Amino acid sequence: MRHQRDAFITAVFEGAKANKDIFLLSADFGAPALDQFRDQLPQQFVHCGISEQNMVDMAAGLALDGRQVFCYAMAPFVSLRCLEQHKCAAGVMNLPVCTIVAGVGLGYADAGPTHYATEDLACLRAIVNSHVVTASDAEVARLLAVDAMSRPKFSFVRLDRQPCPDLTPAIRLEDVRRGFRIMRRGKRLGIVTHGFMLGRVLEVLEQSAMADVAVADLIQAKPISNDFVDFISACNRIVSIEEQTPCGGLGSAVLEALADNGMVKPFSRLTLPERYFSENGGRMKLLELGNLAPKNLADKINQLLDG
Amino acid sequence: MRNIAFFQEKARKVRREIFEKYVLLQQGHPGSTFSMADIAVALYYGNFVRRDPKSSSKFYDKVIVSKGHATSCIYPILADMGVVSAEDWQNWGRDPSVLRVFGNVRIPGVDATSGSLGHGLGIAAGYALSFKRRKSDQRVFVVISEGELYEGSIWESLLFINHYQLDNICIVLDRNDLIILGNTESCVRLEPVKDKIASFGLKTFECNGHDFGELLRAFEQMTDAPGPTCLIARTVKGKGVRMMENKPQWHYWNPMSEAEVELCRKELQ
Repeated sequence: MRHQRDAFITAVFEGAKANKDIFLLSADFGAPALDQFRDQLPQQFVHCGISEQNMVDMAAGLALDGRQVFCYAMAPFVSLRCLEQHKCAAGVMNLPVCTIVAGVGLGYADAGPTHYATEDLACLRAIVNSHVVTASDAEVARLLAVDAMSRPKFSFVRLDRQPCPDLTPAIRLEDVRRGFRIMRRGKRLGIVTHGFMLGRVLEVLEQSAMADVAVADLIQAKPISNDFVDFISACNRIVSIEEQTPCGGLGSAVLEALADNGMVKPFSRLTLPERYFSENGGRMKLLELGNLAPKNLADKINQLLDG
Repeated sequence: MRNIAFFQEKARKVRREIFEKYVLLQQGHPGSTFSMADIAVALYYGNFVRRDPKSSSKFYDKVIVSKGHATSCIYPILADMGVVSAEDWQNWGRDPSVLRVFGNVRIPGVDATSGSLGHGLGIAAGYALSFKRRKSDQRVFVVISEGELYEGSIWESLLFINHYQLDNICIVLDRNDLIILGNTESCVRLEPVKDKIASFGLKTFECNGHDFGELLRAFEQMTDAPGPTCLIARTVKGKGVRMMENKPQWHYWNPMSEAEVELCRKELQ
């Protein structure tokens, strides 16, 4: 079990030791790997205070002077609170600012809806020039950092809060670069998911006899790669599963890919409902309330396979 | 040192030239542009914005017009100094040109794309921090409007600039008192602005933003000061054209009769 944030930041730390133009900014958000970075590379670390707006504007200024910048903060705040900074500072000038969006979905379940990042995918995807990627395990996170440093661009890396096991098959850099990895092959049904929900989907499939079901870990929800379009075109029907509210997230991205490529095929999506959760009980309890618990996933997949 | 008359003539030229462009374009923000024209003339022709010793068509220091609707104020200066090409300047409003009413980084000499208020100061802080960590003595001049003081991001940036002691930043607040719906003090009170900015730890200066003696003296003091600085330049929105002076509606361009255009031209001579 590894933390995605530590895997990502450790990779950035290794890169930053060799490249003095790599800067890591934090809006008072920590991690053991971050402690190592700020201790050993203080000239490349900037504590920005709990000021996400200034952090992103400032990141743009650093990037304009040739720096490659990583902004790090808690997902709900570094995505939506400074959304216009992402657009007007980094996006409009298309600068190599990579924002690490840590704790997406219901990762902060116990904190309540102010701390959920359940609309961030829609918002960040909508910004012109943005690249939006999601890690489903720590090795994906590490390779996303390697890729971000080798191909600096305006991007958002969405990480999960909880430590998690590395999933099988193991991610490869080429998967990251084409924007997805195939977890299982099949034709009857193609499941498109990512992040925390990928692990839940794989658990459901492991405990069932469902056959001929493909699963894609859609790492890069924007832009969608041609290879991913080929993947969905080969499936008879598609279902997307995401820990986001219904508008503009992963399901929308898949629908856009279908529409843009003239494909008409049965499509379903599982999302969180159009409401905020204030109930206690943790992430799995909230997923149950949102009809995204393992039982709901199994029922839906079975229904689609029977349909 | 150039004499005051030199700066006054440059400022008249800037206002004349940008006015003709607005007439041609039938758009622009004359109130805000004329408000900061003398500030820009003092900064550039006073050589506070230093030229790049390696390239005569670039500057060593950075200038960010955070009040992006007034960025066109610096185009006649950049054209005069050979940073914006004569072709781009002549073509603007007639033929393809890189110039636009709002500035962007594709325009030579424009160091940040601006428009939405409250971003330029944070971007300036990023430049300034980068310069300091490179141990470069480059400076950043950033012109903000008082309208931007309503944006919380400005105060986030001031906190940051003071904490990191970004003494290579010179903030110029173009304080013409007007926002779109009227005087700031009757809309939502800003004063005492100087005290508020000083309370964030910046060394503050105040001057008449249309008096070149005061502007030049202030910029000398700011660039010599040991910490981050802010000049509150008291200005008049629409300065130089009586029908626009202190008139909130001239934030934007308005249709003018030929007689009104001629009257403005006469006043700008």
